[in-house]
Amino acid sequence: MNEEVKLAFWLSLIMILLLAFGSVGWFYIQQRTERQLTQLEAEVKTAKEVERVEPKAALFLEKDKESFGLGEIFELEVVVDGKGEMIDGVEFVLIYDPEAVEVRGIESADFFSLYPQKTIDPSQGLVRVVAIQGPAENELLGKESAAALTLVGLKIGQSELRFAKEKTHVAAYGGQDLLKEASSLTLNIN
Amino acid sequence: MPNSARKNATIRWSALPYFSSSFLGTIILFLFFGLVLTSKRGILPQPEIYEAQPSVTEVGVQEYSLLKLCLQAEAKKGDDFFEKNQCATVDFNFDEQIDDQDLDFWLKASTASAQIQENE
Repeated sequence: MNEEVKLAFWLSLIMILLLAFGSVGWFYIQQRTERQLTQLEAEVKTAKEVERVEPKAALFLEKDKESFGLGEIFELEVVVDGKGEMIDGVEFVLIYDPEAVEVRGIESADFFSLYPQKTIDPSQGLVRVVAIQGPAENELLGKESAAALTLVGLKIGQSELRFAKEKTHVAAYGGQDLLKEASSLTLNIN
Repeated sequence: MPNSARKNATIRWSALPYFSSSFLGTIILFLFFGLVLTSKRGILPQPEIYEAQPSVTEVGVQEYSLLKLCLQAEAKKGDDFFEKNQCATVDFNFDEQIDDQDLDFWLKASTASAQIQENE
């Protein structure tokens, strides 16, 4: 009899402990779930969806003279007009005739702080530049130089420099391409 | 131990494994379901997210712009911001959050794509 009472006592104690653990666990999980749901609802209310912006940026080349001499070293500015938008970065591929001009160098400009790409491919006549604002920088872009190219005239006549449109972008606001127009330039070499 | 001695024992020790195993089993079940319910990592990445990752040669300023946006918002998988702005496409290391590691990956990938272009 004594043994049965003790066994019943232990069984009851274990059942009570199991129930206590179960209740505490259920209460904890329910509280945590409710807290997470409240947080998620708050995030849903405050999360911003980036607005679509009309493409209006322009990319063009600027020269300081109308014509250049054969063998003359001169500079061209690649200018980006962001129309006052917060531009994150610019990338362009410029196509030139490697028999008519030689691209000797690419200089970084002041507005963009990082230039992950600045390459010249003389065999194909391509210049590729990627310029970005740093992750913590959010400057508004008016009309600014993106890069300066140093060229040499190799052949008398006219030579066109044009942007490869599918590889030329002005990116802002979560990856939107704001580029509207990328103008080509004709060089006169005398 | 003789049967007479076992009958006189105050506690039936042979029953102890049943009690202790059910007690431990309950704790393990609570721990398991608690972790499953509260952990965000319980959701496996979707295959289409992997497909949407840009290849090395496709990395450009548009990916950087999205990366910057998600980085500034400290976007994490499960956030409404992360989903709405498709931050998964710039989660290059698949760790379900946008941080400096993704930025490093983008910088390395954009430099690598320049080298690929030079070698072509």
